[in-house]
Amino acid sequence: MESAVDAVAPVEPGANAGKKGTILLVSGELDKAILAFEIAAGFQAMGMAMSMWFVLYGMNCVRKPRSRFSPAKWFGGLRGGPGRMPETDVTLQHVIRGLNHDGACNLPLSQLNFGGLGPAIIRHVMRRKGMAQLEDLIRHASDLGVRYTICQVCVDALATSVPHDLIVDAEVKGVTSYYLEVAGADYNVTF
Amino acid sequence: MNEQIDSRLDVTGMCCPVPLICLAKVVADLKPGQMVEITGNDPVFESTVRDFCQVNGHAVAEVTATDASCTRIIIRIGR
Repeated sequence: MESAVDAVAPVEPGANAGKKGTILLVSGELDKAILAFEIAAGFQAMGMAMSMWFVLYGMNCVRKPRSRFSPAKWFGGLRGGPGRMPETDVTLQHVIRGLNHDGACNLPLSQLNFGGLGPAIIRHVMRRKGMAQLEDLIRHASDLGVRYTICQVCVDALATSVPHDLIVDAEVKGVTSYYLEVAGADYNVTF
Repeated sequence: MNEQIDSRLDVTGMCCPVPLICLAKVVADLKPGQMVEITGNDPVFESTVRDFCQVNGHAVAEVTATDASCTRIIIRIGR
């Protein structure tokens, strides 16, 4: 291990000052969300200013976990908010919203999901190994100052009410803002 | 090592990247010249701390293996 570390080219002190990175999370799966937040929190801790972008089901991990029987889960999207155009909503949007896997604690695995048993097994293994759960990583990333942005189109299509449906402070922006962030960043990755 | 330790951090039992995150949070509140002691048993703990110090301009003052798996590292805050 030591030799592998020593083989890396030396980094100048303060090399990360002013450096930026972006992470685009598309997937609503637990394994990819854990990796995205590990990189976000780890890189931010190393001094790089990280920005996370959530599109489509990627935003499930930062949504509030709500019971299937909670009225807020089915009708919370009617509340509106930044990026929403409630006048063009259709009923099916609210059905999709109601059936969606909300919250970091409800995400499925991309492989070996076993109808929901897979995430429980993975979480048990992670707890046994002292690894941080997704909820902890989200909290650490927020504490360290990682910035969160959600795609406006996805906010509108999935009837998401910002900030009422989210567990983090996030902005709602479009593709031009994403372009500017990516073009000005030193590290960009998509999950 | 007779110098005063300003902050102590025990991340024993925690896995990458939590020791790094905890260290970054503690270091953010310290001033240059202050000392922080961090103890952990993650397999990549020492390289994590060394990389963090190298990139952020801190100095590793002392590395001690407290037992078979546990390592104690003392850091002097650089900037």
